Amino acid sequence: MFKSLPASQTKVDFVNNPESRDGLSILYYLYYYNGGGVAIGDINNDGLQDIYFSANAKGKNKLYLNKGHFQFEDITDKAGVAGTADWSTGVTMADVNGDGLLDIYVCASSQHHGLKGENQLFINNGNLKFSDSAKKYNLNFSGLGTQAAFFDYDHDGDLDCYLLNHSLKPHQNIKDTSAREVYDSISGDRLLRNDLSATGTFTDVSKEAGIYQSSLGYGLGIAIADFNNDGWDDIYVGNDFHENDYYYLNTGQGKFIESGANHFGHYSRFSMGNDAADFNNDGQPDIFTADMLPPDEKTLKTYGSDENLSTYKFKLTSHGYQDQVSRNCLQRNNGNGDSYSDIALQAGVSATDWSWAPLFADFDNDGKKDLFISSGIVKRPVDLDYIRFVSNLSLKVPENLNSTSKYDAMAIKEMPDGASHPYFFKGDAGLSFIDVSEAWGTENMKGYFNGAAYADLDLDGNLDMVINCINAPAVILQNKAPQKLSIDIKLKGSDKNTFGIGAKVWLFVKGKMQFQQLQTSRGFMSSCAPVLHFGLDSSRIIDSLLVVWPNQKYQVLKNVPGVPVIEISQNNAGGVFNYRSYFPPPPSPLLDITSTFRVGFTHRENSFLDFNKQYLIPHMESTRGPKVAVADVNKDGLDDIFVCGASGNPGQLLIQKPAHQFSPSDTALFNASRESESVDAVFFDANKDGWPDLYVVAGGNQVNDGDPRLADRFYLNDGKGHFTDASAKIPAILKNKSCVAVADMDKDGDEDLFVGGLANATQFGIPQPSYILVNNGSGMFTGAGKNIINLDSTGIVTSAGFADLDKNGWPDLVVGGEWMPLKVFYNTNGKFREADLPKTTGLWQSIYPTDVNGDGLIDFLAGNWGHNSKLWAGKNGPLKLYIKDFDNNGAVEQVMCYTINGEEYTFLAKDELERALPVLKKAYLHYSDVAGKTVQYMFYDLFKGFRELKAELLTSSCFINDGKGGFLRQDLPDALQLSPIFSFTGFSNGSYLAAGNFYGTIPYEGPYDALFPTFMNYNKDTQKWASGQLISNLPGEVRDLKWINQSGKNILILARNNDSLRFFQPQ
Amino acid sequence: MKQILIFSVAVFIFSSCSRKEKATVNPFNDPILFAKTVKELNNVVMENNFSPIVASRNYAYASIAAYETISLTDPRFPTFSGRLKQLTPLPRLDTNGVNIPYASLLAFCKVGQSVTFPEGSMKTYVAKLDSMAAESMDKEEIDKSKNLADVVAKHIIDWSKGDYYTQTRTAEKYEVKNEEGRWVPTPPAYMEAVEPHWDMIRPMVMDSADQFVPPAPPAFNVKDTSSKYYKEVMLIKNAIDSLTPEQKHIADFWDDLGTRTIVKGHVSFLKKKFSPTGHWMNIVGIAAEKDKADFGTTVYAYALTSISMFDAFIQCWDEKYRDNTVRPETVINKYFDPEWRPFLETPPFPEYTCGHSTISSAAAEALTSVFGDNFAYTDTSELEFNIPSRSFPSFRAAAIENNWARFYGGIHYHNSCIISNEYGKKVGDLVADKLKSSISKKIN
Repeated sequence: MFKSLPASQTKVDFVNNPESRDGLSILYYLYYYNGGGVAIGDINNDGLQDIYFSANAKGKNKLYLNKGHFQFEDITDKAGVAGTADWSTGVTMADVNGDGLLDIYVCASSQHHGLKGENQLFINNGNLKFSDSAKKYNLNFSGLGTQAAFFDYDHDGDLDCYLLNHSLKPHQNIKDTSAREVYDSISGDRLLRNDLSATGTFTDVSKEAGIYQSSLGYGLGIAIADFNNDGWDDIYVGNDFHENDYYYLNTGQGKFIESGANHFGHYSRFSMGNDAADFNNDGQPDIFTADMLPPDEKTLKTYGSDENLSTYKFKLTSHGYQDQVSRNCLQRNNGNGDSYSDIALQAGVSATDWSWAPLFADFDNDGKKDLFISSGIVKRPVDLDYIRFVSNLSLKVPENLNSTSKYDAMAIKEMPDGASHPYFFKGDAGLSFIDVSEAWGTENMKGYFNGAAYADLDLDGNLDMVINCINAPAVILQNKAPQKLSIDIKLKGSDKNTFGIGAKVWLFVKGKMQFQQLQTSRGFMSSCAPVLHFGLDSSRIIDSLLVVWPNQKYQVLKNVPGVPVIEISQNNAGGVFNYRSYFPPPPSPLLDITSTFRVGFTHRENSFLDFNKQYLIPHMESTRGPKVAVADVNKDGLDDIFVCGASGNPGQLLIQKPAHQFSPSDTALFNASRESESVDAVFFDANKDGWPDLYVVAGGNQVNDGDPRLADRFYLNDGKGHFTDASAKIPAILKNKSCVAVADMDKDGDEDLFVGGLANATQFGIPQPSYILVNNGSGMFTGAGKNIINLDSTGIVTSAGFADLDKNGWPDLVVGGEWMPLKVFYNTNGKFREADLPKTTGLWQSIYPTDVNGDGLIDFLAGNWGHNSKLWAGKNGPLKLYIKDFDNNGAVEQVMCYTINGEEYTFLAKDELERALPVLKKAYLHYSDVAGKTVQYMFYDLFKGFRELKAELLTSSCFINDGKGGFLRQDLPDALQLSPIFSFTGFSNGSYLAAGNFYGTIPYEGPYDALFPTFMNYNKDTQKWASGQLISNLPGEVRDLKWINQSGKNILILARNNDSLRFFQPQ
Repeated sequence: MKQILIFSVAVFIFSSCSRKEKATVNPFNDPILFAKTVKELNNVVMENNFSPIVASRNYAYASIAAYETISLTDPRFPTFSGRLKQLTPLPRLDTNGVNIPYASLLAFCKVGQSVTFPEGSMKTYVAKLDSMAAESMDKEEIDKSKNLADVVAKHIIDWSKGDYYTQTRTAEKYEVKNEEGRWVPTPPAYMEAVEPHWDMIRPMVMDSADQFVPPAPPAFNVKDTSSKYYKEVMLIKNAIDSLTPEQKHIADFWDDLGTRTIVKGHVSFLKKKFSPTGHWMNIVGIAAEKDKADFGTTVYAYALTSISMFDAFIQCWDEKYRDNTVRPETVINKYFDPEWRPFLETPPFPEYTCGHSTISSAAAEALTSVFGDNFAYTDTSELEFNIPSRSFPSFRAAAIENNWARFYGGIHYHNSCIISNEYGKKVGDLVADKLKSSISKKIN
């Protein structure tokens, strides 16, 4: 679809050759291979978009005038814009002085390694001539400049300037985040307010505006957008290394408050370029941040692994930094900036190698945004074999690293090449993108692609692409997509912001919406023309266009013909736009009434890390709590609850009092087992005295089998709402367990229990027994024998439920767990027959029996690990877990592998596996020996005598009971696959709510924080599921959803790990 | 490459059931060759980035294998069995027609490489020894020597398996907690705490890891300027802020940080050097050569020194993970000066007591017992890392300089080094005493 046009045709012969001299190379300047930028804009207002390139060498920037038909003329010298800085970086075009002509602002990286220069502002004088007025305007910053963005942050009608800068400070010494307050003269960003009409200059207002100006910021990406729809433009800064990205919210009063922690679960770690745009056509600006994760096995496995969890927590969170993951992030805006969900893995855009400029645009004009990403680095410094080589080199050469250029040349020469190709992803305005690099013609390109910008260069209605490359000619990609309709919207501002930067346009066609806000600086070090391009597919008429200007005046155009270009003038706008009037938030099915409750308990997880004890356990199993048990234990008409607690912070019985108060009761009783970790609990009348008794399951995956802290606890209600310990009446199962379910399974008039076994705390993976505890009628329980049910090695059970699935009057049992199939135990006359559901091995976390389709047969929902995971993205076969005592020392190790095209690869790279399995070092010394090779190859003759577990399915699913002893599985909607689901609940109107999230992972897998509690509905006629709204301001790991009845009203409790309870009322 | 052969008649001491030997030139009866072999193992250990603690196992078991071999025919050096914990005597071996030094070298290599990676990392070196053998011995002698070496090696390797090393490979990792005064990972690599359970390793001579428990370290206190802790912090901070070139040399000389991480942007790599164990093993070689010690004495010196260091590490690590004390760098950066850097890279384990000082003192005692006190020598070990040599009037003087080195390096409080010197000496003296030979000199 894209054709690369040669310089012989276009006469665009620009090449970025980074300046090379002693003491200046990748060994010294960490951004030596970041490349240069592209700015596209119509500098002479002739309707054709011109192109400016910045170069990493003095006087090598270039300006090309577009003559039409992909013919360009190099007018650099005439225009006087070759640049005087030794090393130019980002470039943007904006009408800075408000005279209707686009000016060019070029940043420079200087004041280090001998580089000199300042940022330059080439004011457009008309007649193709420019003069550098940066000094005059006080915009001549000199330091580690990356890019600039012009926007009107204070709504006074002129363009202010945000300067994005990077840093050289060695980040090997992690300082805590208080260092953000320390001003640095050549690093740290700057905000300069346009005071041209008052003083003729820009004023540095960084400090009073709350902008961090420290050397902690390695700013490589800048995006300006009104993220929270309050009418004021906000700033998103992508920072490389351990400094997290900044999310500055504009207060509307000249100040910005960095608020990322309140809205993001995590950011990309090595953030490079970024782009803010509404990719899913819901009217909310989303953010894509580029990182450097390789897509292919071989390269991936030569990189050093991420830190282990303990080190990561120390380096980042202990020092105040927020969570970051080493991969691209696609942060979906969950509504008005309330929260963001990173869906990059599920969307298929998480790994595009060393990536620079992401750009959202509708390249095929089908009305849905696509995604372009440039990538490639000249030398990969993180290759493990390379690091080893250089380390040996430093031994052999008798000088220090810093001294000879001959040594440097040797060191650089051996650095592996990191060439890549530009990526194109086709969007579906939903949650997924498809890699169309091959079909769109860029997959076979090979090089180092950095700054990029798009524009319709030949006015054919399709967006073309321009890319700045290192050591190769700039690339111009002509878009030859099949003709579809599109419209380019030019905005004419009525004040000094003549091109309408910051104006928002909503376009409505046939009930579908597209939204864009005009900003030129985008992607990486580059800027696009101040034109908004919308694809219309086949629609000839636009139903309506809503345009809102930065000063909040607005206009609505109806029935706009789909002409190629229109110009909309701010002079025709009026009124004051009220976002909530135009886009009223849909009523939420649930009203948050948490603030009306006073609860005397918050779940606090203890600090145990499973990985310290079992180095290779796939993820933590010690944070499964809390679940909530509900019953009116004192029969006062108000439901009471028992909330489980982690070790050291015991679970509590909370008695409900009028006016929404929950107070702890019998605390001494429950504190007696404070060292136990309770993971599930249930109230039931065990001794048939009419009063609810309590069973509490102990687990935690921390203490070993046989430890008394693993004993479950059983409490009898004394008939007055108080409890006594009756644990002597239950068998002592001193193992790590996970769940409990209640049913009268033998129909003898009393309630029996199923208790699920989870894991041995030193041997994860070995299937554990589960238990049915038979009630003798007076609350005395004994384990059911094999003649009743065989639960000897059921597996790693996480969840279970009873329901009469085959309608024979006897409660059947459904059991779900990790690395095991879903098991149904059919009950006839109190004896169970096991029937595993075929091909359902998975990482199941929750089971919820419910009649989904109203046919009288009980179906069930099953929460699995989801798709937004490295375990799923890009994998097309079963996930495996190989268990063995590989090094014969009495401890069991687990090797997790995924499948790609029939081959199995270890999840962890060799360096990480070696730490736990030193025996692996014996066969291969080089990482490249095993990178890209299968697990069988890596483990050679150790790969036998293991136990193999698998997870064929990671999709959270619905199982419809076919009434004939089988179940039909359906995927739950994509929006429900964003994280592992730990809990479901149903509403009387037939809709369901699912919630989950899971943070107990190694940094390489990353925290699962993208699922906010989400509604879903089953349409009985079409037999399809659809996802509904989500509760966007409810972060955290939800472990349970339980209803309490309070004076006839139902209230939903949402229980989270290490966090407070939340209360909701259906409305 | 042939080594320069040193012909030494004195070494031809065979057991009473000897038969007529081959021609008197035994190219293996060369203490320099033994020293070279130890150095070879040192290189392999360095290449594989073993932590110095783990490396102490390699050297100790390999040296013991060599020692047990020469012990078979050298009455000056009785077997260590019965004197090293759980080491049983070798099975009865026929030393007739065996080239004992050759067998001793082979046993050393076999044990040394049984725990290094990749497999057979000393293979090339051993092949060189074998070709030397082929040129000077007949096949029968070679085979007998190899078989004997195999038996000794197997015996030592089997014995080594009982030291709990394997179990500690999966022992629970150190829990990082943000508590005042408690160790946390240090820059630039922020490595996890190394070997938190080394106290479980079976000592060779000490009766237990906690046979010598030093006094508790000064209580953490950065508020009270008159507290001992505060004074120690200021002492080290000020020292580093004003290091003289000589002090820097001393710190560099005893750095011995096996792998130092250099991070520049996305580029990071490791600079390699000896470990403290490797450094002292080198000193053994230097001393043996200066003393013109014969093969047996040289082997004994290596064995004694490596056993001293092995036990000293256990004693030291037992204390480190009892107190889990924080490193000066962390304290100074957090409470006094975020820009302060130690002169050397802080190693990844708690501060008190000092590993290098402890094992240096232990090694110094072992060497003093073999070569005597006031044995002056020039230590050229660091030349290959471009650090000039240093001369010492005695091993003990070297150990004391080592104390200062860790302080000048900015990685240990001065008090910790003093204590470490004292306790390392206790370990060294115990080992020298328990494992004395007929050539041992009285110390203390």
